[in-house]
Amino acid sequence: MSRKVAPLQRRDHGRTHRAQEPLVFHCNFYNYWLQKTLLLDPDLEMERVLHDASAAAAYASLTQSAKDLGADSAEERVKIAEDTFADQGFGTVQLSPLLSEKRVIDVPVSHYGKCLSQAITTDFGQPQTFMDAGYIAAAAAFVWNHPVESLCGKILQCQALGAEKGVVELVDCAEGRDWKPACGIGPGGKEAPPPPNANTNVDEGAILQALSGLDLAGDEEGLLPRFGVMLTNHFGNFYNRISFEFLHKMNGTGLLEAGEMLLQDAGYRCGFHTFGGIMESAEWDAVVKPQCKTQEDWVHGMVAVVNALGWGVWRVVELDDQHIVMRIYDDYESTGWLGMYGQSDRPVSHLATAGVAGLMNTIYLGDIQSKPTLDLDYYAKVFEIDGAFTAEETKSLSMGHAYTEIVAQR
Amino acid sequence: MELFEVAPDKRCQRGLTFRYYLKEPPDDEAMLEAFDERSSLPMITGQENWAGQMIHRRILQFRFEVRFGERAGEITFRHRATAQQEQRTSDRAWFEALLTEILAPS
Repeated sequence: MSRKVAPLQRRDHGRTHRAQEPLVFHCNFYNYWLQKTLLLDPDLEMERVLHDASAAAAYASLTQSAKDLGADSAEERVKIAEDTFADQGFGTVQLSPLLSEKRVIDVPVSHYGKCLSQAITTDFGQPQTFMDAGYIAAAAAFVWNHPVESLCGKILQCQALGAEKGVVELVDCAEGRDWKPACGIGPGGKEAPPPPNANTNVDEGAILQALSGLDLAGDEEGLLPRFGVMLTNHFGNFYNRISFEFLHKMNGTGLLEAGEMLLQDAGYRCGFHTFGGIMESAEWDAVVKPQCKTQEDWVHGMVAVVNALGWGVWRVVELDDQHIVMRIYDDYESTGWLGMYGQSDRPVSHLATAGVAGLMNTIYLGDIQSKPTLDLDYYAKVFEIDGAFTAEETKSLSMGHAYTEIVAQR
Repeated sequence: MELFEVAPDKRCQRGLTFRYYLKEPPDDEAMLEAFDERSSLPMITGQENWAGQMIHRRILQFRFEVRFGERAGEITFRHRATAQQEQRTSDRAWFEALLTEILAPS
């Protein structure tokens, strides 16, 4: 499919960029659980953070994309914005009204509008498409050459609440706004990752080569069904901004550690649903499973797949059925923190920490090889029993170490 | 005789994705050829190479995608999110009629 988008670039240390904005794959389950976590306390007013984080990352990506593609006209900019939204799995947005300075924009298909509900059994009580609204505000600023902080997207209709399509209205909102631009690629570590652990039957290079043959762009509707989940090739700076601003707000109420635990809980869901979904998928059966002869091979195989997601380079240093030492080079959470706030005085890689524990629980306690149904009962059985793996971030790139290190044990 | 069984995907794509398990599947090439011969809809074709395992895609844009070759003896039928329920019902009925025609003993 031909789209007017800036090319994806694979950079050092397992990072993927488009127009100098880092991209990371995450699925609808993580998107649902993270957003649910962030919206738990209405007093934190995280809706605005979600909106602005999306607007900042999108605006940076779109403006650089226009430069990379040599696109000057408003029509070209509309096309870039529509196609980038679809290509990255966010859905379909119809931005041509911007050419007539109209301010009401339709979103016929939305990942956040339609796909989060597939992760739950109840209905939503509030809109879920803050990311779309921020993206549309950024797109309008991009097309109209307005300052990005001068516009906001107001959700008029949301598919998560049963509307046939999403509708967003552009409003002026510069006054009193605490605007933070995206930080781009962010500083990375200087130490090169070592080769993959050789103590396995898994050939990571072959797996990465095979995965490069998959179509990982949004389909004609802008959705990305893959590995049994709905993926987004999302802005790393979006995830980092919303997660870390949440922690700042929780810190302001004396609940920083609780906030970190909540982010890790969202990460456990990612480890369960995303990793579990991948390990039960037809793609896994074809590309990875034939190489797996032991449970340890399943760990190495899943790590190989993670290394295709733009999260940094994961390396298994030690592994047995009781513990794992994982080192991550340029983990996207650390590079994001460093880019936004400078050096940290405490670990920040909560998604990665929970993901490592989740991986070990899913394989060694969850018997993922038998393809169990990945429902809430099974989650409780795997994650909430005595003897489940727990993880700790023992080193962090964000704190000035050469890499991030996570140790999980039971 | 039942020629195939069908089950909805229970996970995140429930309602969108259906898996067809063929009782006596023909070989992949014959299956694909028979499908292409009988389908008069303007479908887009595509392929993916999974470490040497070829996945064949037939896409009717904004309606559905059919995927051949993901697992032996299985075909995946995936509605597009924008397809309305009435269209989905009609499309799957069309697909099942075609499948029945292909698989019926001659």
